Amino acid sequence: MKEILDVRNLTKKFKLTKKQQESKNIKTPYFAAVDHVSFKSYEGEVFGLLGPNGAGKTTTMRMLATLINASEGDALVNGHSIIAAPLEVRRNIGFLTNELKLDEFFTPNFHFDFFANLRGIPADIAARRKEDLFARFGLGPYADVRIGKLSQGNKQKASLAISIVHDPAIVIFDEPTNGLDVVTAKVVMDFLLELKKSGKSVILSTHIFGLLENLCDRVGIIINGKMVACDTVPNLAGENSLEAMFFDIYNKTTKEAV
Amino acid sequence: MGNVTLAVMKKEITRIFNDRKLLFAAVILPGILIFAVMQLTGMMTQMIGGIDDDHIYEIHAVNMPASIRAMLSADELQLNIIPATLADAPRIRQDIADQNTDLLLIFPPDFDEIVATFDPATAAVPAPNIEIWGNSVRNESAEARHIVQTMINAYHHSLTHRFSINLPTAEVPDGNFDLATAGDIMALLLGVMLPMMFILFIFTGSQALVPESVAGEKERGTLGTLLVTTASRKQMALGKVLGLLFFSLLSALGSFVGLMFSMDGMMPDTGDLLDNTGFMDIFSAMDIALIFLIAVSLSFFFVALLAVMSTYSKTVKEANAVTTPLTMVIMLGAMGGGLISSNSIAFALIPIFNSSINLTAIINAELNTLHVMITIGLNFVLAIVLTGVVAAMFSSEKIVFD
Ligand SMILES: Nc1ncnc2c1ncn2[C@@H]1O[C@H](COP(=O)(O)OP(=O)(O)O)[C@@H](O)[C@H]1O
Ligand SMILES: [Mg+2]
Repeated sequence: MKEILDVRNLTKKFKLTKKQQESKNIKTPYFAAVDHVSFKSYEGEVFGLLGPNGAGKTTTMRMLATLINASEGDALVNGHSIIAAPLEVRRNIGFLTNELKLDEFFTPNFHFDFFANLRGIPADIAARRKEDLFARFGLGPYADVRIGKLSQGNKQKASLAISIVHDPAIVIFDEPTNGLDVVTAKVVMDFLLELKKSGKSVILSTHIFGLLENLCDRVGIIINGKMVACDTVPNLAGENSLEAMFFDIYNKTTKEAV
Repeated sequence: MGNVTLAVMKKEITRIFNDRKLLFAAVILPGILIFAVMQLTGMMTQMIGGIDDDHIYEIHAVNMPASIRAMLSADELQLNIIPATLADAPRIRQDIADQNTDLLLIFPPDFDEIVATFDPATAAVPAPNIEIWGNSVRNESAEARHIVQTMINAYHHSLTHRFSINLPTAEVPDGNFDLATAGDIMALLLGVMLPMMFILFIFTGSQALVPESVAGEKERGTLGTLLVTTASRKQMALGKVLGLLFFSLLSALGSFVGLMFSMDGMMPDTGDLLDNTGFMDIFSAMDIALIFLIAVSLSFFFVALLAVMSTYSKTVKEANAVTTPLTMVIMLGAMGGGLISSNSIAFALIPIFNSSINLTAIINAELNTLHVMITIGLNFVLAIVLTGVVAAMFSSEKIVFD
């Protein structure tokens, strides 16, 4: 199996204001939201980051997407260092989160061309890809409707299609179904399954066990910024459900910390 | 300029063009407002100080050359030209100060001969200078000065600056040939109100656009979508600023048109000849080019400044809250030029204030070339530096993802 992602001691420290120190009950002005996290994932795999709110999932993924800088450690994305070659990394990833949105005013068509243009994709290749992706997502009839006028499901489809204009080797998806209605969540699930089927590598974060069991090959459990377990789903779960195993680890970890 | 810059700029322009409300607030409204306010102020001044239709202006002239005499003797101008000598000058000046007579013109002897052979490029001595003494408090005097100066200005331009008007002299080192003891409303109107409103409306035009566009992108989560691409942040920032600049310029153009119309409307009734006098007669092509350059550079500066403040803000509301108080500062700076008249180069280094000084100077035909060049240059430099700051901010995780 080819390594597609190699995360080594990735660490993110945030400087805290006095107020944040108090609210987090931390004595030092620095706080490690992600604390020496290491893991690997392999080509064609879906890797899930599981953890409670505030565990450091989003921060980890933002570092992998080169949106924020790592304080320590490094990660190789398809062989490219997030520290030394952030542009190469961005070329290799599609990054999706529900916080990143498309402009309500423009159409899926416009957006697709715009982002293909920003990424420097030749027009003929972009056109072929657009045709293919819009057909796959059933966006054809809505290609020239403003994003603002689309249903949540179609909006999400447009976002998904546009996040992979550049045919990235890895798709990073932070909380893919968070805050979506059931229909839209299904759109996203289908997309992820399809990516998996087509042999793409996916890194996703979630706190939804169902998503992990249905989709993920391997799971890393992250609590308080630390990777406390990382293995294939069957190995992690053993006889139990993933959920039971998670709470087992969770209770142990948080007890140790106290 | 780059693909990314163009793409981002095009997107920005398309978006705003389709937002009618924004377009109206930013582009159309300033011009209409400037026109309305100037009309109103104009009406008020006319109400305060009217001049009789048949008033004959008394123009005392020392060494009046034949060329100028010919220009000023048209009946429609209603000018009574009274020859005088230098010895009479102090008495006439006192009369002007006492508001008993209208204007005193002092020409150097042999003005026509000197001007005919004068070549500004090679001349060892300064160009001959005309002194125009008046009293801006007395409406008749202000009007007489306006008529005479308009005529002489036209001549001045046609002679490609072979003479000067009201340059400082040994006796008048401050170059103040106005014998008024208090500010005149008309002078105030032209010198203070016009530059102030022009600058202010360029600012408010940009202020209607930039926070909504820049902080709006942050708030709506569309900026993040841009930043995850491989596109250069410098180009992105530049594209954004240039796209907004396009509208800021439209806004400046709107203000400019409003200004043109209001100046046309404000010309008081002075007979047939000057009834047709408007904007284009008061300002030379050079003046208009300079006003345009000041407007462009100032728009660029404002857009970039507002973009920095808006990028720093998390929401449109916050961006509006931090940029709105700036309006007061801009207004003060914009008024400054009419209140503090000085060609000191140090003043050219104070943004906004310098643009105001130059606009006033253009209106009063007292422009200092170095001053205006520094002003325009500084505006551009500041704008480019601030655009760089926006690019740097786009790369800063604290600002984008906090
Ligand atoms: N910019 C920031 N400054 C300070 N603290 C932050 C910042 N971003 C995230 N955090 C903190 O880091 C921790 C991890 O956050 P996050 O990665 O969003 O967790 P998750 O996505 O797992 O819910 C949280 O305690 C959060 O409050
Ligand atoms: Mg999160």
